[in-house]
Amino acid sequence: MAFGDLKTDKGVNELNKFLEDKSYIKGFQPSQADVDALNQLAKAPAVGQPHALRWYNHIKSFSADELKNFGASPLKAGSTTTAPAAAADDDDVDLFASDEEDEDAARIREERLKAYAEKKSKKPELIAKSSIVLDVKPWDDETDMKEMEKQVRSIVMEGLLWGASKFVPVGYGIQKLQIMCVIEDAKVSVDELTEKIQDFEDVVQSVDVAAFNKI
Amino acid sequence: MVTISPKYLNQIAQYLGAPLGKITQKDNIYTRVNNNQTSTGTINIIFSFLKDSKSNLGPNDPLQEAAMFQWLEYGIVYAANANNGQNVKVLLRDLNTILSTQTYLVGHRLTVSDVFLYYVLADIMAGLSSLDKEKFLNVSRWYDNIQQDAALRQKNNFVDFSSNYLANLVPARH
Repeated sequence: MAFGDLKTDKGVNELNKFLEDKSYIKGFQPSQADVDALNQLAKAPAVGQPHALRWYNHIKSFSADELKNFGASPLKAGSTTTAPAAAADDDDVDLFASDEEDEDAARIREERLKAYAEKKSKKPELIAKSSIVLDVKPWDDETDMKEMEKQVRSIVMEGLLWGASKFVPVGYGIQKLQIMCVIEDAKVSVDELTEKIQDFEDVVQSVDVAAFNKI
Repeated sequence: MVTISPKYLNQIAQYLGAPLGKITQKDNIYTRVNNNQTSTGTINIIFSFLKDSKSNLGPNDPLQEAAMFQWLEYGIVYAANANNGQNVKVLLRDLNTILSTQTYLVGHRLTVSDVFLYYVLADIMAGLSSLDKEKFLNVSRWYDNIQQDAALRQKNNFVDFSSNYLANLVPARH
């Protein structure tokens, strides 16, 4: 199972999403796949990644011996690939002292990689936003619409921005409140928002999503 | 005193591989007699199953024992008697919160508490709508993980938690 680079936040977010409805990465018991993924993580997942964090704590709770017993063999040591190459070097007579050049090249490459990584990390991440129009229906014909709007606008959430609103007549002198808002998808869920509005039970009868547009 | 259906005791005994013994019921209290050992009360009976079966689903230390005791009690008092829709919603909501940080109920492995609650919740989970399964995601994940063991599942139906078809119902999430 691949989640991109688990050292980055984006990779861990993918992992978090994947583990939403799964207890383990592969199958239904701890396996080598879990150990591999755990080893790739740079640090424990943040609180905002609850599913990854739960999985992390669960896998972490096993002792090293237990981890080795899960599925396949333990992690391969990385040293085996370099040894033969070093031996071959010894046989060659290096006339042009390319050792130093190699070092230089390696150094330059590393610097470039570092610069690239820095540049990449500075690039602002695209934040997915949605524009929503909500229909808020009052409890009855005597509900104070201004008061209702005030209460709805009193909801403050991170990543939530209230916009324009208007009263739309429904019939028999009853009006409904149509209000626009912009939310950040990652921070605010529409369900949560509508539930919050519906919590004003005294004035609000129901909330509908009239329009939903990704920005 | 609240009581539970005796079928849960049968299922647990069968899964643990413990002899059921002779179970009698008086005033809503179960009593089990096996090898001249008497245990009274559902929770004690479950712990006596554990002892008779040499199963490793029991507690490792007193703290775990206490936690398992509480979960069994929770299963009997709340889960097994959540008979109307409102109770079920409250039950699942609470469980969903707790399971958001845990893979299993007690410690980091399958215990008899998970097994018991699995049997008790089997009917409720089988009757959940897809939207509710999605809503109580953490419970669904826990349940799905437990039900994979055919020996544990016994005669219970396999509950499908696949969310592919959900994409049409809740597009905002997918």
